[in-house]
Amino acid sequence: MRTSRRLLILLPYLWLGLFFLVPFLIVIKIALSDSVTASPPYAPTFSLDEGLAGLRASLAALDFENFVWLAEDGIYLKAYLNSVKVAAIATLLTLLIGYPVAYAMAKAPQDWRKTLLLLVILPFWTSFLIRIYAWIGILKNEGFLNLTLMKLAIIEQPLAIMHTEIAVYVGIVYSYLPFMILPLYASLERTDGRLLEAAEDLGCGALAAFRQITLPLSLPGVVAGCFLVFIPAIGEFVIPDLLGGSGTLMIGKTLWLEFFSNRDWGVAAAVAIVLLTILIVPIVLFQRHQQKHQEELG
Amino acid sequence: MKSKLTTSLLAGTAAIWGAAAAAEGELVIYNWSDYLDPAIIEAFEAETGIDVTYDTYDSNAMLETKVLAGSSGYDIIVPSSTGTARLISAGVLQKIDKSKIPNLQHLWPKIAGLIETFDPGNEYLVPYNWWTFGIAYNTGKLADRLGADHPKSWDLLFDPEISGKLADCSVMIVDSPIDVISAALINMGHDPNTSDKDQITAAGAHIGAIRDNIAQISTDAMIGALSDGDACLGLTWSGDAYWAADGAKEADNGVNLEYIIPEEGTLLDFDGLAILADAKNVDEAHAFLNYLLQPSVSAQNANFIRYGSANLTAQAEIDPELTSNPAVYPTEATMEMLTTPVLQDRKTERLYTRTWSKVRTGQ
Amino acid sequence: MNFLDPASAASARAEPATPQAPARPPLIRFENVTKTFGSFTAISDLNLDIQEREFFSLLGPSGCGKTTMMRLLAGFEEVTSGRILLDGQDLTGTPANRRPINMMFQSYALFPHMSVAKNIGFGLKQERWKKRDLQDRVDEMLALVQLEGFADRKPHQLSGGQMQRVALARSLAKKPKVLLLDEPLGALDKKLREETQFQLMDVQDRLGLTFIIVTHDQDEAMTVSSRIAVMKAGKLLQTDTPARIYEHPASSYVADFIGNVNLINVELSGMEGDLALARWDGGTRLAIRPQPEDVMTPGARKTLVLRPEKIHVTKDRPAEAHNVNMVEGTVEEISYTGSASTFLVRLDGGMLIRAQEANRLLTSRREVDWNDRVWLSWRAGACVLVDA
Repeated sequence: MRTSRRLLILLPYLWLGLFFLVPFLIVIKIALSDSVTASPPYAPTFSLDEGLAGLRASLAALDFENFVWLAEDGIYLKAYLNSVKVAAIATLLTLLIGYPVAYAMAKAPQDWRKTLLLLVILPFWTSFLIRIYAWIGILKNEGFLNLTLMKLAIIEQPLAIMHTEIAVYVGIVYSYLPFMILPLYASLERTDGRLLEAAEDLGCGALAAFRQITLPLSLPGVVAGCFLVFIPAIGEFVIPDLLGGSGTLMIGKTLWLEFFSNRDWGVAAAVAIVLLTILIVPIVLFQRHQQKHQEELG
Repeated sequence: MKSKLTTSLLAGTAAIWGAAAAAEGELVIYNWSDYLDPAIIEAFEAETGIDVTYDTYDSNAMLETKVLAGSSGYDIIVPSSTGTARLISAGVLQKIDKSKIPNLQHLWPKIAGLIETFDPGNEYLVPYNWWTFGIAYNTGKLADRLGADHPKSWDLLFDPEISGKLADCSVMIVDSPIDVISAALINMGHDPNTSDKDQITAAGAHIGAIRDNIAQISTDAMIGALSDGDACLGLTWSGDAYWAADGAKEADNGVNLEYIIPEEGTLLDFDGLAILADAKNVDEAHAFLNYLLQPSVSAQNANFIRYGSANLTAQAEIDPELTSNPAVYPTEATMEMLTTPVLQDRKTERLYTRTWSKVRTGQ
Repeated sequence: MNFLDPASAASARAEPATPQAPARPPLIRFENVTKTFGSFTAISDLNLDIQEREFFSLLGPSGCGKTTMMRLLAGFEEVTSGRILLDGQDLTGTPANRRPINMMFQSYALFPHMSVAKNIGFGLKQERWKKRDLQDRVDEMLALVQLEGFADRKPHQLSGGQMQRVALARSLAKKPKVLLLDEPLGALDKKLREETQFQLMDVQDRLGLTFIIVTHDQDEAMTVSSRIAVMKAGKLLQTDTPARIYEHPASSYVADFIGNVNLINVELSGMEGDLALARWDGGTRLAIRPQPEDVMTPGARKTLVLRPEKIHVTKDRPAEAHNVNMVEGTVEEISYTGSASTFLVRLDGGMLIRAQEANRLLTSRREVDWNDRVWLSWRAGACVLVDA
């Protein structure tokens, strides 16, 4: 009985070790390697052919050169900062759009809510890539949006949205909106309607009640939603690559360029590790927030 | 029901496995998209009984990353330009057994000679196609803005005054660091293959000076933008320029495109067919290369993909519209001014891509 | 005055304005109020006056409309027709946040993200009280409910009883004219509930406010109220003091709803002096002292309301008297509840009567036992007649 329970506890750790820790160690190892023109394109490669001495020599060849390079070249810092900026603005936009949606859903009649929830989740049933390509069709110069606006004689020249940072925001906000709406909806729906009545009873107007009761009580949802959008948005590659222009400098794209264009797996791995390190801060904050919230409920 | 599902899943897995593991009588080709007439594969399969699996990529980077990672499962690949040299030095290609490909005799010695910079003795590569990097433009829109006797040089882009006049009708360049920086170097009077740090940095600044006149930096959007008339000038490869002109002609939208090799000269580039060192179907790969080099097959393929063919004997059978087009087959005199790129060391290569990143993002 | 002293609380109850003498205009008046939800009528043409300083209970089973009455008063619902007056002013159209009426919600509805002090001061903050004054009032309220020192706690750190007191303090902080209490003690255990009842009465007395309580618990209503309105299906069945509701119910429904009761169908046969005579099951003759308002028509069918504790259970036949009723039966069941024992007695006619005797003796000395033949007797003035 005890053994089987221990095994059960061991399982998640085993999973984490096998599919996170081991790959991560490999990435760290590549980050400490030099890139070479060979297959695989980095050196040294660990091999047991030359015995322990060979292994030791391989270890000795590892260094932090790639990280030094990241620090020396300003473009990486710019890319990181720009990614944080883009992710932060996109998160804010997602919150501004997602909150009213979640609020309306939580206030909708009980028997509508399931349908509305389904509608929010529905886009996930199609491939992410296809949805982003659909946005290309909508946003491009001769795309659906511009054609409609021109036909309605609202604009004369097509709006240049495609290949701009605006398109990147549209893409991120669209793609991550459900991650914002779902936790917001969960916390808004949980809010006891009698609290609002109590506030009203004590002299509160509707707006004041929203500000003093609904909003603070939905903060856990706001925080959860923001993290769920912000964390993946920082490393986002596909959206800036497909919708963004050549001027959109984001760390995901920079990583891609290092890996594919420069074939520099070492630097690419170093970029990835720094990205992960940057993400650890908000992730830990998020975890702590969730834990605190749990305790307060319990 | 469950067992049925499992069976079909197993079958599916087996199919994927089969494609990657390629047993005898099979051949796996990894090529640029739209870069081989599918009818040729069908004919080859019918004639030899070899089962061909055909897979495509759309960037050299994708090909190299996949191949360098190892165990790709492919037999034949089509690397381009300096990428060929990189793959040779990485040791992922195998030497071609020339005794198995008698049709090598049909190759154009001049093109084969150019390739020797990367592959001395043509040991690893069978030359496939070749092209130039130049300027495609909308003749009507350029005449409107610059007059009929406008220069036919790189100044069209790199002279801020000239490209400034074109900014309103959209100037585009492809997202390709080596090609564009080399063009800038040529325009500045430098060796396009320079590894001099200052010259490369200066070339970056040279492009930076006209960065505001460039509406878009994109490879994918080039052909469409040119043929739709959305862009009036584009720095691109001769093959893409040809496709854009063809598209405009087909759409009959009044867009007339012309491709020029700028008078200062430009890069002549090429790609080659190669067999991977870890290929499982070496004999079949040789058989395919020999098949493809038959003059009639090469001509059929050239007519399909509209690129300059490296098969000299085939020229007679290629569509005269192509062979007489100086954008596809430059004159002897022009050929003299063309330079083939060289493989730079990693540091210089990185300098190129870094310079390019700065140009691209407007930093 | 001791906060939880039943004696002082009881005195609080003796004081309210007597409903029989409405010298002043009522504080609250329901005037032909009807409230419908779709096809469902929650309140039907209802009239009710509530005086200042009353502790008024709305009592009834769930769905009787008592909660709707409260929500109409608070302003969470609007009347369908009729009107509600507060101090002579029509409340129609005044939103909940503008009514000088506060409510203590069922299970309290405390704001979970605010401290006790913030909760209590919430209503004052909405009126933009000065920080100093607000602080003073909050302290005063904390003292009132004996929660000094709890100001900075969050609701989830409080016990059920403490939360109840915070809720009370919050709803009293604005010194409303009327305090509505929706099942205020429903979430507390029995002992705490009894203590808190006295606390509520004490607070009401001290602040001199009008309390209106909604409850389904008749004991609670009996204990705290100056008057009780018994409701059923959107109508008021009887509005009266607890004692009159208990002893002089207006209908068999009210009688049955409040406490245990024996309901006996009788037929009036005539008068004998100041006593009415009735026949039970066509046989047994009963004497009943009628109420002044009772109309005694011979031959009319009435229901006799007889509370179990008014009945004596004896083994021997009691002495005959013109004002004593007696019947004989067999003890079928005895249930012991500590202070009293309840006897279920099967009469020879087949009817089951519930009688209750205080346990003046130890159980071992009890005379009456299972299956004993016993006499049940009660005085003519110990029962009332209601319409059948």
